[in-house]
Amino acid sequence: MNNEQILQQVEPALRPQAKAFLQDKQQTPELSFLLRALLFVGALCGAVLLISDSSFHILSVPFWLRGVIFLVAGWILLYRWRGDGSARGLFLRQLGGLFVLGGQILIGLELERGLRYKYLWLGITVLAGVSYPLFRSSFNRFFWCALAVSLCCYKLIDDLSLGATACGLIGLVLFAASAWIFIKRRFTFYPLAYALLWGCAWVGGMDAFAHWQEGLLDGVNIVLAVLAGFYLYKALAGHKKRWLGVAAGAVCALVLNWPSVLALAGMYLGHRLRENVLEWGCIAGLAGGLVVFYFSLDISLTYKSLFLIGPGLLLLWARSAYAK
Amino acid sequence: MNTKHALDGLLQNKFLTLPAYERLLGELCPLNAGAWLSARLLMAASVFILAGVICFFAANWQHLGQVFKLGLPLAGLLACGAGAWYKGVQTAAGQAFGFGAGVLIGVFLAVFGQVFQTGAFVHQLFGPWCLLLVPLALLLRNKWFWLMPVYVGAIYWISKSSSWNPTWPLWYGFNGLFIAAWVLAEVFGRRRVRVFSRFLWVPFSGFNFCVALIERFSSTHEWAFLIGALAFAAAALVYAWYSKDLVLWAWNAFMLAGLGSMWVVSLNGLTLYFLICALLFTVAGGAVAWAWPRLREDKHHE
Repeated sequence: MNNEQILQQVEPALRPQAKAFLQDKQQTPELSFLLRALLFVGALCGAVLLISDSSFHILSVPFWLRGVIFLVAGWILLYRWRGDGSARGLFLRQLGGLFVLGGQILIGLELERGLRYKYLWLGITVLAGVSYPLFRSSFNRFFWCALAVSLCCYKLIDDLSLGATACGLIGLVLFAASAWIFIKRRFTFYPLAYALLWGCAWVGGMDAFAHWQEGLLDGVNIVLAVLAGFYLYKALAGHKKRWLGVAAGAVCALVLNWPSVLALAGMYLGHRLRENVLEWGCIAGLAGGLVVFYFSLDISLTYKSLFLIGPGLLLLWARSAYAK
Repeated sequence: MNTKHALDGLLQNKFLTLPAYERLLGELCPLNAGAWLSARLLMAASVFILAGVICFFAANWQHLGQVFKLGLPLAGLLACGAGAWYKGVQTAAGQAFGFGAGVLIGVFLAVFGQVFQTGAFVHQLFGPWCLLLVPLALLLRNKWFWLMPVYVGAIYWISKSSSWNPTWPLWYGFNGLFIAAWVLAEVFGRRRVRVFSRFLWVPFSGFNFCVALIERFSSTHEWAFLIGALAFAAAALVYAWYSKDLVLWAWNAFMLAGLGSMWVVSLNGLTLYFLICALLFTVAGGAVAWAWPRLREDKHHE
């Protein structure tokens, strides 16, 4: 990494601080992803077991108070080990984050009892909003936002009995809001952006099982096919054969239905913004879309296979023509 | 440190403006849109065509003739062989053809059993499949390919010994074979082969953990089994320490905590078992944190 090249883009008054920031980052040894994942699994097992144990051995303590105890303990751990780059610091922070989450879940369950399910979506949304600036763990933020978005979407679609087009539009709005956060690089709101994408996938799943059997070519699909075509047209600017990409995108959009089209768009967005998590999340979404497609479409296996082989061959042809 | 993460940090702390950030990102992390599109189109096309072909044969399987049913995997095998020969077995495409051939051998054996109604037991399919995979693995010289005969062999062993009661010989037998392979590789091929390394150890011990879970709650040889399991996991921990692999150490520490928890949960009359299990996992996390400054320097991992 070229520090000098980076520092030239920083305002002269801020350069010494930026230089210190970069040096501090470079000196802190990074823990590998595998190790972080293993420590997280260990912390998760420990926290889940301890919180479960509280249901057996401190029953005399009210439910909400148990939540508060874990919340405070987690907060103390997070505060005490903040900024510590060692494996110990990471493990204790993860444990603290999970205690905070567990404490909030206990309080959330108490809230659910109080609200008697009817206004649960509202309670969870309020909890997500309140905990967002208070608890800075990305996982905590994502968890509550994803839960709130899922419940709100479910409430909206189920209560109003919305059809396929409305579901598609809700998905499109969620995706657009998420994309805006990523494009504007609002890092603080990345957990919310991922939660919105999760909400988009959730609405897609609800729509698939409720409406896809009615037919493939609904209004949203046609609009999205045009959008996907335009998107690819812009993405392949300067390439002589960009019409190939446009054709491939449009046909896939018509066949695949809207959640998969949005996953394709998200993949490309992730690549352009160098956000690997976004790109691979959308690839997983696309794979999930194929599974949903297989189980939800009320047509014979032979037709399903033709729906898959056709676009596959078209994509292969587009690739070879594009490479030439 | 990752350049993108450094730039993200600078933008987040307001040392950089958004246009300056985007400019630096473009210069320091350049994109290759053509290569990306080509790779993604190939990936998507392969998945679509493969899923479509599977759907097609699943739909029409009953109506296909015996010659066609047998010919299909054989044709695939021939195509994979021709592809590997044409591209060369050490190229990426050749290796992919080799993996395809490994899967199709099993498919052919299954179809053969179905078409001729041989009445064979399940393990009689996995046994020859495992044997046929070994020369292919030697030919490909790809360490990941070795996982296929290992797992096919494990399934063979499980299905063969499922009629035994108790099933503990499965656990001891498989571990014994693995340890023998490990010792041979460590003694005779220390420089060239690291059989006990992460890539083989992690899935193997995962399998072992599942077997141990089933065995713990069904076996009548509780103590013998527990001592064997704990001794095996502890030996793995010691090995991870001497091979200076922190990830392997962490994996084994949590495996050991898992095995200990399993034993604690199955004890009768104990009331604090969740608390003890939580403590075991916390101790395992502490062991990883303690080992981190001592093992992190090592770079020779798989």
